[in-house]
Amino acid sequence: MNNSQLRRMWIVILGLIFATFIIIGRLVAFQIIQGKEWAARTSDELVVIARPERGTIYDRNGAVLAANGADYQIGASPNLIVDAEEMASQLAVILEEPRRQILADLEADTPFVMLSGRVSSDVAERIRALNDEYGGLQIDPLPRRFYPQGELMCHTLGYVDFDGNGGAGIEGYYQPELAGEAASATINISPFYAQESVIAREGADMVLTIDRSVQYLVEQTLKEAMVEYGAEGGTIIVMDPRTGAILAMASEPCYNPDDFYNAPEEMLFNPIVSRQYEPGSVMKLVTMAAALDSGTVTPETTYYDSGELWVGGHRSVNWDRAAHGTVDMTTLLARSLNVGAATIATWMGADTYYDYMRRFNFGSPTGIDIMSEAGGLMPLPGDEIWTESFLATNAYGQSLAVTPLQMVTAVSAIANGGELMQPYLVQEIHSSSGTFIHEPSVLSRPISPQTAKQVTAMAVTAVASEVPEAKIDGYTIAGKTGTAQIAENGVYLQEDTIASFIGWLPADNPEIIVLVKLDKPQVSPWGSTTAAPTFAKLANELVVLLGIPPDDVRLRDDVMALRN
Amino acid sequence: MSFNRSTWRHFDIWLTAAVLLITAYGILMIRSAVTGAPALQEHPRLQLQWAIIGVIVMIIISAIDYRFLTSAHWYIYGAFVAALLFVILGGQINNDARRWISLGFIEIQPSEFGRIFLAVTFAQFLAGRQHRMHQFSNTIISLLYVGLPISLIFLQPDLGMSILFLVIWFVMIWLAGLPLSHFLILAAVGISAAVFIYPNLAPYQKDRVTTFINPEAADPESVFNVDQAEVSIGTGGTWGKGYMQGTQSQLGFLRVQHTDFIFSMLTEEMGLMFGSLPVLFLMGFILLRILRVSQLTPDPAGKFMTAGIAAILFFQTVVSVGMNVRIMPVTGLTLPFVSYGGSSLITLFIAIGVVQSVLMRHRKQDFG
Repeated sequence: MNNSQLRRMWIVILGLIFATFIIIGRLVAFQIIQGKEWAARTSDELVVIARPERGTIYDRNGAVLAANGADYQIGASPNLIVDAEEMASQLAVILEEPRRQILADLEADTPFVMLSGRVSSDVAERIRALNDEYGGLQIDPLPRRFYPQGELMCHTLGYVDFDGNGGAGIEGYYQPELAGEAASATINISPFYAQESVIAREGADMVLTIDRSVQYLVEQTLKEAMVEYGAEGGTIIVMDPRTGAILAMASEPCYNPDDFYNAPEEMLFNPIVSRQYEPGSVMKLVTMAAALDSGTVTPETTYYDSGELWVGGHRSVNWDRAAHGTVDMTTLLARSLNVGAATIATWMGADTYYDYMRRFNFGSPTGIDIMSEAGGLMPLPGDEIWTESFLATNAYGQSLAVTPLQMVTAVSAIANGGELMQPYLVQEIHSSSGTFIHEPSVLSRPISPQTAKQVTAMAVTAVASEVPEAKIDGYTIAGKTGTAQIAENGVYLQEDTIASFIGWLPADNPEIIVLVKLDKPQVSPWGSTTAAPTFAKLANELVVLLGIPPDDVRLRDDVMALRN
Repeated sequence: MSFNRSTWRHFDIWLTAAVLLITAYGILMIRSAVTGAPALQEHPRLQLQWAIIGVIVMIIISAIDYRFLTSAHWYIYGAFVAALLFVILGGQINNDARRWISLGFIEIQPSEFGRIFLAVTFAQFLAGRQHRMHQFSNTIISLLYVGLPISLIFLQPDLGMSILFLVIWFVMIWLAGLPLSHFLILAAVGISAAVFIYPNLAPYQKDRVTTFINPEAADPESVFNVDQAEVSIGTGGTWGKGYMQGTQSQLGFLRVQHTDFIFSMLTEEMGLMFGSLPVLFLMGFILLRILRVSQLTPDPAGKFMTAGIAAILFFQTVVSVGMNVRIMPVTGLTLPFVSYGGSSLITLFIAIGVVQSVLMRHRKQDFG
């Protein structure tokens, strides 16, 4: 080998060595120096989150009341936008936002800009068409709750905020069940370990006791009554007194749960279970039941009504400020005499009277399955605010506060023969772990069936003789009006009242009990002239809707059944 | 053929051992690469089969005096060019390129085999013209000699292989004594052509040129592959994730991991210490053993052809590793002895056989 060849060979070898060093240097840089960085980028561990779908809420007949849908969020990638001017003009129209602002966003020097907050699927559809034409836009779905029935039963259903938390009503009370439970796990993605599956607990579906048609009728009736009597608000509850199942409950004013974020905060509050009011004369039903059940009086017992009664330094008078002379118990209730109610309460004495009041569950929540139920206000002897006069005033529904639901629950015990049923809204829960079906539950048995029958008979007479407005053809109705004064800041308002009527039918074997409560009716302050006719109007349609046979048909059928 | 003992005493056992070691390592890596790909399940066994055939072929070629090949160099060259022409006219299309000839029972890639034979014939061609090395016409003629197969391969199209042939040409003619002035003139012509023509091209023409030089840059699939290869190598670290434990390769992020990207796979699983460095050192050792032959043999043809073979192995290694670490564009060149492929492996064993043949006969008379 000559020298020249040797030199050339060495040049080749040097080239080889040079290349080898470059490659090894590159490898060392990759594997050792940047190794940790790479390892961090491609961890074997992966956090997997499985998100459950919120449960659907149905009415008792399977109509969807609350379901899941999506809003959309519009974004854009400015560097993919070809004609920002044109795009901005089109977007401004669809998004109803200033074109200048959109143009600035589209020309921003960032990889991605948000162009909108939540927009409806209609808007998203138009944006999608625009995107198909020009490109560069991004349309992301955001989960949201939809209420196909709109405002129907807003207070009952409640709403779901954008974080997926139920904020009121059933959505709030059953949040854990409806929302389900997201599952998350850190799993190892390498193929050398068994893969655990991450499965969320899906949200449970709920079937309510509420009948959508009954609910609609109730809401319509309530709205019409508010207009007719100039009331500023009102509540109607329709319950099955035998089980405590709520067939409908409504309170006005209402909000649209789809649009809850635009509703004033006080509107989100549920008056049916949370607003406490003085029930007034409706309470006399309970007072009478207590007096009869304790044996203090019989229906034939009489007392002398002088038009006033002093108890604990407080003077009770009748609504007409008149004296009614010697009066029996039935007449007391029919004429709604405050003096009479106060009299029998003093005959019972505070111990007996308040014992019954507790048995009727006053002063504590009914435990209905809805969010933020209030317990009412029932001062008892020994409480700081209780004075002796309360025994008299409580007897005719003053100096205590109840929620509409508490009132209807208590009177139900009279209607159904003595059992205080726990009111409830959810009939069935269908979850991945099985189906739960609500069984009616008895909270207490405050009075005997005999007493219940006696009070019902009195309430039938009361309606028949004194409240013709509440009567409907073909059905015997038991009921009681109430006209309560409204205390604001410790002083009773002169003009405004809460007019109410509670009635059940058919009186001897009730299928429904209805509370109508109108706040501050302007046409007339009296329950008998506002709430009672509203009750009648509603009851007339309810019997058709619920298929409650008129008394003669029902009794004839009973006779026929006995003969066979 | 020669079977007497004195010839075989120069047989390079170290070179053979290194080649067998790196081939065995490759088969193990292919085994890891194809787990989880049932369609490729037979590949490790096939590669082993090719390796056994390769060793037999290597021994046979060693036994044949290489001068038998060089004496027939015009025929071999002619057959090679004819095979390339046949590929252009009626070859099998795999992955959008015509590179294969189907012989019914087997598919052959002429350029794979051809690179070795070109090294052999070109060595003889150069050896015969050594006295004219100073003539520029000789340089041009040698360029045309290699240029014919290169242009045919270029048409397939197979840019990587075309460049490989240019490299063979350069290394061999360099050792044959290419005057520096010729080299500078050619380099100047090449560079100025590129420099003066390229800026005057329309943008779309420039795009075509860059796409032509590096087609994978425009192909998202290739970009993905290179990205994943980079991740594999980066996460391999010093010691690797363990045999058959590479997440990138086992989970299918790496594609064509048993051929083009086998280097990143072995790096991910075996790390710097048991993967990339051993493979590179073995390759380096093999190359130095081959260049040693080139230096030992007094016969110019033997000298050039072994250097040409070293150039082939060297260039393929650099490109195959280089594209994994992003210093080379992606081409279809395989990592010698390690990547899966029958044509490739057998050709490499033929090449080693030729090297052994040259080594075994480097003394004209051996009385040892």
